[in-house]
Amino acid sequence: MNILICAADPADKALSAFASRSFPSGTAREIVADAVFSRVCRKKAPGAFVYFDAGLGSDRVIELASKLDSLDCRGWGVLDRRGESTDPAAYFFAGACDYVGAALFKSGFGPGRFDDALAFAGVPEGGGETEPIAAGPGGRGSFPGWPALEEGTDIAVRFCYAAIGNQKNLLERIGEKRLDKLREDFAAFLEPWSKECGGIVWIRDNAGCLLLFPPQDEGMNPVLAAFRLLLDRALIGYEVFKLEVPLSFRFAFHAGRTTWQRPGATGKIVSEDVNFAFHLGGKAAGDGYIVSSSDAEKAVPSSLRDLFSAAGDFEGRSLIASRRFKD
Amino acid sequence: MKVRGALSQMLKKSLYESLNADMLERVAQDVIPDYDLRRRTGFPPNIPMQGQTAASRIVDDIVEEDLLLHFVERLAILDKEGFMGRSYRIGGLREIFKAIGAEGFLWDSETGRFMEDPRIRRSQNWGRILHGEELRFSLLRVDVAKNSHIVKVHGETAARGAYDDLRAMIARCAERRSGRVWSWEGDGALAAFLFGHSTTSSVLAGMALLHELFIYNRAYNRIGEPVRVRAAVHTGPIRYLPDIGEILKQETCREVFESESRWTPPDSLSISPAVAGTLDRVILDRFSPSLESGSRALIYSVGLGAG
Repeated sequence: MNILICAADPADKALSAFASRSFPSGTAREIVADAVFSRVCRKKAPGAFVYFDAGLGSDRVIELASKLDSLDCRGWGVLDRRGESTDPAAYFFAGACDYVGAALFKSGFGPGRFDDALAFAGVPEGGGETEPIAAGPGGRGSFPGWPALEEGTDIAVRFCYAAIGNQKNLLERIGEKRLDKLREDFAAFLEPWSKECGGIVWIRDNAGCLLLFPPQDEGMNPVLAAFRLLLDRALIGYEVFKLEVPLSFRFAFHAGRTTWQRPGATGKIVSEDVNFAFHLGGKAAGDGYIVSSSDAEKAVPSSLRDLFSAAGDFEGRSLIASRRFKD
Repeated sequence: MKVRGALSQMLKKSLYESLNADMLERVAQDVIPDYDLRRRTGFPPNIPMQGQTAASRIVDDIVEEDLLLHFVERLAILDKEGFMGRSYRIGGLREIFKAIGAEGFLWDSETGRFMEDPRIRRSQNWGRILHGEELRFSLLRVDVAKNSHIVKVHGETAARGAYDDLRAMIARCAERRSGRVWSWEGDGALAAFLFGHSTTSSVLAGMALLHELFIYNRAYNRIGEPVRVRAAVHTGPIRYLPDIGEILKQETCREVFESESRWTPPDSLSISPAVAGTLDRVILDRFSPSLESGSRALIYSVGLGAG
């Protein structure tokens, strides 16, 4: 998990010292200036726990914290090293999950203290909803971006097979030519959509697309984003694809490893996980809901977990599936 | 709207090359009632007026009265439909549209009107509706259910944070579809739609808002209790006035407020029969008849099937 600290001075030595003695080794820590926080939080805050220096003033802290509302951030807290806050509860009213007073700031966190903050924030034990999958190289934040990956290297990723739902019915209603065009348009639509989640449209087949996402969230959580598309299916069908018939989608998530090749050069890839992801999307996924292998279960954010339930086994792996929205 | 000299000259040239002085006066009268070209120019009735003189005077008056967009819209109709069975070709209209576009106004082919480019400005009157102008709007009314309970239980600061989020969601859903939030009262809003398929846009904005709230309540809500809304869409004539309080007193507004409070359950969007009649089947099919006796509204809500 990343720890992001927002303060007036990113070179503040006291904050660096606190961060290094309080958070477990292997935790990425970064201090950013409040002046640039609004600009960089969209990229850095998703998946991170954010602390604000109380020296910024309570109004400024609450204002900056409100920027985290739409980001999939683990939670936020306040570092009040000088005991300046006259009303620490105001932070909690505004959604804070931790408050570090002067004494604790000086001593640093003891064992389990940060876990308590995470538990208060509703983050599951283990620190995150999307912990590294299959122990890929590097931890959170270490994903270098798709263009920087060297072709031929073995990488840990999350796979998502995405397709237009109920294609047989669509074929009857709009004809083959329009359905082909719809598949093309859907693939083009998925490009910016997957990019919002740090993903990429990797391989296309006749019915849909196999997308790749980094092993941990880089932007919006992809399962949450897929859930949004299922919710918005009627609007997308009508406004984006100009369809006069109902539209649905199907999504299948899996996590595993593959040899990286750039899109368009994937013909020679031999990967059990890639095969499984295609099988899962083609045979086990259904219209209007999300199916996930147990390997990718951790990718489901806690906010949606109660909407998923066990869905039997497929090719030796247990599955979970989301509830469908009523039509 | 600020009119540059180049646009003004382009319009004058187009007019005198396309229409005679009588026809020019007639078009001007569509925009400025009782427009009298001879009185304005001082030309006596017995002296023929050149098209160039008429065009110059009319454009100056139109610009003076801030009616250039309305005048060019009228020219576009004349170019497309003619007048009294006769066709009139307005030369240079494409270039005039381009020059107006450069000033930050887009042509809406659905309504045949210019609207401000939302990438540049987003004003309540779309940068062109005149005070007193009566037009058919579609309205989306949103109200927070159990507002006083939320404030009482969670405190004003926490409630304000959640309502600020809601306000941002409403603005996003409306403005993406060329709507404008006309009023926000702290726990409720009224958004207006005029351009494009305005009723469809307002209904889609209402549906999108319920979807956003569904995700918000699960993933981002910090008060520990879902923010629930009632939303309603209705369409009808409204006289645009600078005082929003005066707009809210008009019948179409009163009807949408009544529809929201009387016929709409929490977490739902209701649409009036006047709105339903304009929707395409694929959207209309998402709505069900209201269960309230005496209501003719149709209702949409987000529902989950069995696990």
